[in-house]
Amino acid sequence: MKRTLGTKMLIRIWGSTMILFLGVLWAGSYYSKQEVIRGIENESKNLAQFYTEKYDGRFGQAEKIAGMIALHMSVHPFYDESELTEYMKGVIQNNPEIYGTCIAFEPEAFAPGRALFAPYFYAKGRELVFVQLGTEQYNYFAWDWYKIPKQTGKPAWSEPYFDTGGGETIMITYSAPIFRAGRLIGVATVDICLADLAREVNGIRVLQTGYAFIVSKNGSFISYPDASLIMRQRLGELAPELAERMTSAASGFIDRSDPLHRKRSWIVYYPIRSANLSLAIVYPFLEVMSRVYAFEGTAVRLGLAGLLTLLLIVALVSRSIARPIVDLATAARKVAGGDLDFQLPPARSADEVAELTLAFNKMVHDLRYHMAALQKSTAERERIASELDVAFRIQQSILPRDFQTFSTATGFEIFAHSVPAREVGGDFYDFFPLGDDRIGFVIGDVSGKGVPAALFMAICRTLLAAVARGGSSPGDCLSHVNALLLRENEMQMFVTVIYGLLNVDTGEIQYANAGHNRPYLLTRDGAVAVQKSEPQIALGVLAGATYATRTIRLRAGDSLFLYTDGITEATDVQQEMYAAGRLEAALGKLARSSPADIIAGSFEEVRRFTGGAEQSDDITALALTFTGRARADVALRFANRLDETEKLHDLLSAFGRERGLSKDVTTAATLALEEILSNIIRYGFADGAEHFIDVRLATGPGGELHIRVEDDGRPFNPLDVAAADVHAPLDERRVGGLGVYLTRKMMDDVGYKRSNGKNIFTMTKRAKA
Amino acid sequence: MEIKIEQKGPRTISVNVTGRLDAATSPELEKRLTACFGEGTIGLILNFAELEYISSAGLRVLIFAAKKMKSANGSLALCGLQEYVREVIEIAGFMTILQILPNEEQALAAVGRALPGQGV
Repeated sequence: MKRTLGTKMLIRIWGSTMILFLGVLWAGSYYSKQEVIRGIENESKNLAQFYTEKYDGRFGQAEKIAGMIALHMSVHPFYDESELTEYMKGVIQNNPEIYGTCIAFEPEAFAPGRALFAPYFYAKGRELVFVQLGTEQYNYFAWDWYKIPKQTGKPAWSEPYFDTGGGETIMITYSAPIFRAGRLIGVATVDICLADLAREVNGIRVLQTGYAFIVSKNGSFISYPDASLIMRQRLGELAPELAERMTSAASGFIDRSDPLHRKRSWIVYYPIRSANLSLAIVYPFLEVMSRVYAFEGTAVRLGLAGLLTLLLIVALVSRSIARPIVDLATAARKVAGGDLDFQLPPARSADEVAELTLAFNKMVHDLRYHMAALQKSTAERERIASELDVAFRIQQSILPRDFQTFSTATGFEIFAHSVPAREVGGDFYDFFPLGDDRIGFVIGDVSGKGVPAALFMAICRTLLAAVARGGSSPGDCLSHVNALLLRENEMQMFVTVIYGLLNVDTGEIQYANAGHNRPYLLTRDGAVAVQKSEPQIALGVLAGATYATRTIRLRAGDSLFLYTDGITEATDVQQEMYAAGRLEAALGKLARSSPADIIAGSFEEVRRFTGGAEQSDDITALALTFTGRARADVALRFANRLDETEKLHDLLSAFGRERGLSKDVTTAATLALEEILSNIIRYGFADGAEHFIDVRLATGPGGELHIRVEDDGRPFNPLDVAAADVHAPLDERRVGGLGVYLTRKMMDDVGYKRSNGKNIFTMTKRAKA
Repeated sequence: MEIKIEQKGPRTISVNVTGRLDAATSPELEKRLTACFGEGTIGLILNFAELEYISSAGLRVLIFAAKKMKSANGSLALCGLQEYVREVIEIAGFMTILQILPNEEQALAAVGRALPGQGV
């Protein structure tokens, strides 16, 4: 069943009601049953008591009569037979409840010569019947009714018996001993007819199917609905437990199966003490309960009808309560699906559901409004973003990108890169040729970031580029630009700048620093030196400020590294700054790289440091290497005489000094050239004429030396001279070939070729790494 | 190049070479040493403390001197090598065939030990 609100309410309300009802029903049935049982118990006990008392009374009466007779006989003077008979008749007639009476005498006690004398009278209907029990056949002395009182000297009730030869009926006899002058003279008896009793007891009406019965002291049936069992069967054979209880003269009310029908019944039993009998009354369970069950059945039917009605009512009520909520749910689903024009009809009631409906409608209305507003602002934002994107592209195009063109020109290499923090930034760089022999380079950082800084940056760059073309010194240019900026600087913005001029022939740099981070000189030996100068104020601050120019000199292979504080102030996620220390370490590793590699390497280091942290400032750097490739080769000429090699040392020393070569390069080159020239002079010419050997020296930007030896002798490779064995013992050492060996060892590259009738031998020595 | 010869014992000399031992200057040293060997020198200390440069020509002279001393049952020791000269001598594999000491005193002592009874 679908778990709707209505169903839930129905199940819960009706379900709990039903459980409650069933509980009440069960409790009611239980208690009513208890009541019935208690009622039966009381009723039965009362009934039993009534009858037992009645019969007790009757038996008591019999005892009294017997006692009276005994007493009478004990005190009265002896009767003769007819007197006695009259007496006895009188007793019976006056006491209709007794069946018969007998006075049995001891031998000779009534009259001498009379051994047996026991007159007995009993009532048979209206008649009185006389029987003389004192006959030879009926030896009354042997009977219990005579024997026991005689033996015990006390009156006693007998067991019920069938008196054959006497009353011819079931009887119970009370016998009382007669004493005269202390001597037993006989026994007086009184009989009660039990058949009457049985008939009476049988007649007791107990509901429809109940009954009563009496048993004797030993459990024999005295009265029983099944007359065939009377005096023939014992209760013990049919219901041992009940027999046990009844014969022990107990009273009680038990729930057992009855002896007659073997059905569950309540049985109440009471003793008839006087005669050692016990009366039981049986109340069949089913009959008793039938009334209760009938009542229960009616109650259940009524209840079921009521529950079904309740189910219907609850169903209807739940549905009517749940309907508005279901409607709300449907409405919410529609709105969630995108239908913002949906509106609920206002609720009719004034309860929480009505409030919810109101709130819902308002919410939908507000949602519509906000959706529209959001769409508008998103469109606006997209427009701005696209415009910023255009601005970024414009800015990027302002910064020169063509590094290659300048590199093919002799003397230097340059590379620069800038990454704005936002779409547009305030950093800039620039470079341009100035005349034939100089290149200008600029790096700048406008205060602030974003669009305002970007606009100011464009102004600064343009002004500087224009002013620089005039050819003044960097310091003078900055002074001029400063004045121009101050003329129209409403926003009070300022810019830090370095503007420098590199002479591509000499490697001399003139530069002016207006408040910017000091640049680093990276030498070809791998040193990193910050270029200090007197601090000067940024441009756009101080009217009339003048700026000084500083001169430094780069050797071939040296580089200048300029940057903005976006690098040193780059922070990682822990807010730690990259700082100058790390920059210097990074530059140390990159000192001998090309500008492109220096820039790429330093940016990579910063990127790795900051990790995922957001870029807080524009990052810009420019690297400029003086390659010194403008230097021409030097040509030397040697005649083919051994003494010519004397010139080598001085020539090469001067050359090395001029080109800034290291000492080990110069010394190795001198040695190698001496060896090679010696070999050529000794072995290269066979004709004894004068020849010339041309040596060409060239330097590379990294401080390496290239040597080219050319001669017109016979085909001869100076390296062909057999190499010496440098491991041989002294005796076997030869001098020849040592020169070649040393040359190979001391120079980095050696090569020979024969071309156009000339031997061409080349060698290269690189500066120590 | 300048050569300064000092007598250290009856037949032991120390030779101080200043400047460069190249193809031009080495013959001069060879000539002077030959003269000393002719006079019966068997103990030779070559002090290169002021030697800046040596090429294969110079090395040739060293081999010549070493062989001569060996055959005369003499002793040869080098001392005071500058870095470049040492490097060249190392590359040429001369470390194994020459005695090389840091300074002249030790070189003298070494030669003295090799030539007992020479009163060095």
